Amino acid sequence: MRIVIIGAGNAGRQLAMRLCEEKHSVVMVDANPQALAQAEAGLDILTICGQGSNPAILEQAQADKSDLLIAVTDNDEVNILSCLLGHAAGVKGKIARVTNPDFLRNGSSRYDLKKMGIDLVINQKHECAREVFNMLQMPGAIEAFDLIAGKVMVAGCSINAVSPLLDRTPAECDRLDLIQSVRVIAIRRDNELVVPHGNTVFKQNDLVYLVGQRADISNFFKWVCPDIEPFEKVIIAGGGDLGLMLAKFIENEVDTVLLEQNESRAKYCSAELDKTLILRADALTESALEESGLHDKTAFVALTGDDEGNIMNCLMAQKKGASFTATQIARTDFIPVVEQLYLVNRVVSPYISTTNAILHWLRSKKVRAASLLHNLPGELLDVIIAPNHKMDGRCIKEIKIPSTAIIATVMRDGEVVTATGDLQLQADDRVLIFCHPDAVKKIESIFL
Amino acid sequence: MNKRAVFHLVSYMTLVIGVAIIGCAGISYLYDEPVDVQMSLIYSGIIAIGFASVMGFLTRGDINLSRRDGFGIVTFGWIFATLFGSLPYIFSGVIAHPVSAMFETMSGFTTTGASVLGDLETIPRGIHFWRALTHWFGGMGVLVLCVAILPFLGVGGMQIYRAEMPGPSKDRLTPRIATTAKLLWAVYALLTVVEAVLLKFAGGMDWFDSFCHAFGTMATGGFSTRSASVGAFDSAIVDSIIIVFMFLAGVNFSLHYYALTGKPQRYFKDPEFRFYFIFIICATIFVTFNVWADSALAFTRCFRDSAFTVVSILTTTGFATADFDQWPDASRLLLVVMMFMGGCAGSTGGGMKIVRVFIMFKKMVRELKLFMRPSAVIQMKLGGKPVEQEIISHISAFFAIFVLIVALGSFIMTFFTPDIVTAVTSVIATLGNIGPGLNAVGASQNYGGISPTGQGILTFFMLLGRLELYTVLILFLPSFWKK
Repeated sequence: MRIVIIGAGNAGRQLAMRLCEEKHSVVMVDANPQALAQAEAGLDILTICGQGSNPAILEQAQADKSDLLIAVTDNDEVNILSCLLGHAAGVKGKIARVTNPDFLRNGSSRYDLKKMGIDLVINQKHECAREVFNMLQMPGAIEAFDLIAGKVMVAGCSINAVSPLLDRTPAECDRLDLIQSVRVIAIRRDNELVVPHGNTVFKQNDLVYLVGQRADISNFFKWVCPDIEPFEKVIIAGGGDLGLMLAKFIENEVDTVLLEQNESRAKYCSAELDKTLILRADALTESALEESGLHDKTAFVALTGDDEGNIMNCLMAQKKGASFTATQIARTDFIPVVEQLYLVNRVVSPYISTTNAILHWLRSKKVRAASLLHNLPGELLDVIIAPNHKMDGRCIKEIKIPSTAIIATVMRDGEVVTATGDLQLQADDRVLIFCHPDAVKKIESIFL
Repeated sequence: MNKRAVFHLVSYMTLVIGVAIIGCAGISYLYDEPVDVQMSLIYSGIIAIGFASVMGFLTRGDINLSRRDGFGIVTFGWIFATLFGSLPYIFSGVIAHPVSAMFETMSGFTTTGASVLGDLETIPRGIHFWRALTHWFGGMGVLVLCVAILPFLGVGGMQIYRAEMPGPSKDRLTPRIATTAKLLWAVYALLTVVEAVLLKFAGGMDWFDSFCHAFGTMATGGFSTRSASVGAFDSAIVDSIIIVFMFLAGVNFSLHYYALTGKPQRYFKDPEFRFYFIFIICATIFVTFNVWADSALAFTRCFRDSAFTVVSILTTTGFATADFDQWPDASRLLLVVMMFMGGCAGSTGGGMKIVRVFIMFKKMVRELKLFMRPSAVIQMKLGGKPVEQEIISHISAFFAIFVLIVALGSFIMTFFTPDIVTAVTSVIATLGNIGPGLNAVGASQNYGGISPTGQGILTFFMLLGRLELYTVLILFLPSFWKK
């Protein structure tokens, strides 16, 4: 596919890297020659210097011959306008990153960007806030997100020394009912992907990924990680768009405190939120942390725009006894270092969230929907069995799928059906399949 | 430098060379030549393939190339290509001394066209075909060919492309570099076939001569199958076809690609092309009158020879229809100046490249203007677009190094040549990848008279010139070899 990316910032570069890996032809447009030079040094892409919303530049980038136009500059208007121009030139897919939530309010559909021809409007703050929200909802989960309107949840947890699963196969555990209610789809062991079988033994530090209904996963987690208790309080440092959005999601679930230094912004947040306690204070001071009532069942989330400050803030909160810390990091180069040093419990990056959302959408053009896992080199594919398809009426154990793939779960008439070997697939079943990226094509050929 | 990855890629290139040499044995077989000739080609090919397989196996692993590795791959790639490419000459006994054989091969790959061979008519066709094929591989670049056909290079392909393609800034026709390399090779191959067909049907050559000359023309090489070069055919039609295709080979191939995809107006929008075109016309007119006034030949004959020689020298091809060494000094000197200039950037031609000369000329005018009005702000432009300061200083340094090497090289060559003119022009003709120089290395002479040591030095100059100095010279920096 020929893809034009407008904006050579963090999100643009991250996307270009992923798309190049998948052998797409990428053209990158940006007004800043230095940013382009940096992108071109490491990637096999064509770069064009100029404003992406300028028709002459789009002409030069041969947007009309491209299959997809992705606008991820810092400027909403440039992103929207380039997509509209792309639409006029007949580009098939248009994706715009839009930060201002007013563009996304679906209440008045009169001004709907989708009607103007933009296929996917991404609010990167929203994607990111959703991710943090899921994380806080599932203490102990390495990664958690929901699929199919919240009916199915995918989550990962690590096996520690006190876990009842340690050094056992699934069949040897005392709570078979819990294990059978969810499905283990993958294990990451020493950076390798292991697709589990009935006799796989769980080892310490394994990352185990599960698929199932939200309540079942929640129960399973309580059993697997007995040492992790739910948070009684969430403290958010930074009342920017991201912090505010997260506070909105979470304030109805748990006691929430928002720290914001700027007075007028703090007032604005206060007007937007109902239950959250808003403190006007510099989160990087000990007194502010004390005032917010930080104790040992608290999750601390640093979401200011300052990466170094965020990391420091998390360390301070840990010192004060916070049981969980998460930080936003904008510079993608910092992420591996912070993760490797175990400075914080979790890192969130708006750029990676955006990249994942876009790749997710791209995949879904073929398969109905697909998701990517951050810590796992694999994908979840979501396919619907067509009537009279060769899979219609086939038992799961009769289907020959690659060894790096596993059928995670089946949705029938809006209900989750456990995917046992004897289950007979029917037309209109939604099948969730986890697989290694190498096997995606093969799975597509089997089910589509 | 990542030595393992560098030599892994060099082994792929050696494999291509080996296969091509064995292909030449097939040509030799078609023309019913003695088995010795075919065996010498097959042995050479097997040695190259065997070496490539062993080296490729020993260096297997991930390919992750930095900018530095690109320079290493290209320089070592060319050295290995020359080493293995010289085997057929040695095994068949056409050239006895190994250094001379390397000179001939390097002259082929770098599209110089300087030869140590005197009597070309006695050489078997299989060897002739290999000699012409070295031109064709070297013209667009054998490593650019590897970039086009090896699917796993990714961004590493750009590092190789950057190090091998001539010109101060590299064109990129498509987002993926492998596709760009494929398109350029496709345009190159297409033009070669068109020329060969024209030479066969309009020019009356046989298929063998037409292909050998088409390879030599499109690569701006200059190896002919006849001792008297293109003059041996003595045909106005052959001359005209070759003039047109030499001209095309000296143009940026990106422009050909645009023209073939329906945008021929891009030719005259390109300032380098305009300069090149107008310069050729003016130089031809001057040389024609200069030669006509001095000789007893008919005007049309003078025009034909002058046009051919001007295009042949400016594009750095080096084919000859007349012995321009007999021409008046003004014309001879103009030819030497043109040897410096060379073809356009992104063409197969050598020399310093028109665009560099053009930008240096503009810079000179700018400096003069600034001398007059020190507070004036004058942005250098090329075709209406500003030229980055970085490129200008890059070109200034290129000029300085080029002139320095000519001076130093000429001094060294005085020990191996009979006179100063020969020494200076032998360096210019090899460094600029032209082929013939003046006096003892003139159009009717060859490089066989220079001792093997002198030939070895000139071999190095050919490599320097083809890879535009930096790619080779960078290897002499101690810091290049450090991790």
